[in-house]
Amino acid sequence: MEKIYSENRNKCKLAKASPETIKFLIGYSNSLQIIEHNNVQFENNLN
Amino acid sequence: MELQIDDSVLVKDYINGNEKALEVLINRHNQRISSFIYSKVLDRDVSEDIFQDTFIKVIKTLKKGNYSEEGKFLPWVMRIAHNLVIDHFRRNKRMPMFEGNDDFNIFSVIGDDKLNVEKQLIKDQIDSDLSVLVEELPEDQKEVLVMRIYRDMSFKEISENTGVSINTALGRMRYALINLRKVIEKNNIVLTN
Repeated sequence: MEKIYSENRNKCKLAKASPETIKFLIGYSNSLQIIEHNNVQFENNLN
Repeated sequence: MELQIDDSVLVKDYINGNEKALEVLINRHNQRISSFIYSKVLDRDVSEDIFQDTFIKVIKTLKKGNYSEEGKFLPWVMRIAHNLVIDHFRRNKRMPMFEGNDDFNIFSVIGDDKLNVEKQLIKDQIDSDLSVLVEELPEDQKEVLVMRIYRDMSFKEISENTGVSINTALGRMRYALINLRKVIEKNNIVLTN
């Protein structure tokens, strides 16, 4: 019985965003610039 | 003991240009936000996409200076994630996507209603066999059967066209079918698709 219950235990992984996604977000943040002109904000992505 | 910098301090640092603060914030709340999204959408890839979109919104709002600090960074991010989850379901409602699995395949229920080549060949064979059998019937029965089945005429129309009563037409049709069955049985003809 114990074996049956413990069989799938390792399959239950906690949901977590992948390191690639985090890397992308940090890269996105680094490249994003907000420029304000005449009270209008412009998004600028510098790659 | 490791000293944990407060979210509000990190947010302020980030707004002031410290990009590293964002990394700390993302890593700190990664699991809670991801689990929250995953619990709603139950799909790893979609969950990852929504997580990414959530933080893109967070980054834009913080960089634009539209964030009002009330010491509630995580609930705010959760709210954004929640709204994006709702958007995801709304989008899918408009354009539902269904993926089959091993147990159930949608194409076993919804299929092309056209016959495949093999079934079409069998059907053509049956149709031609049947037309030969119909030729064997007595003329009056054959006439009624052809009008009813091949020309899709009502018994009223048949009676008008043949000059017999509706009951006679019905009787001829009945005998036509009985006789056809007799011929089929007698000659061991298989007429199934």
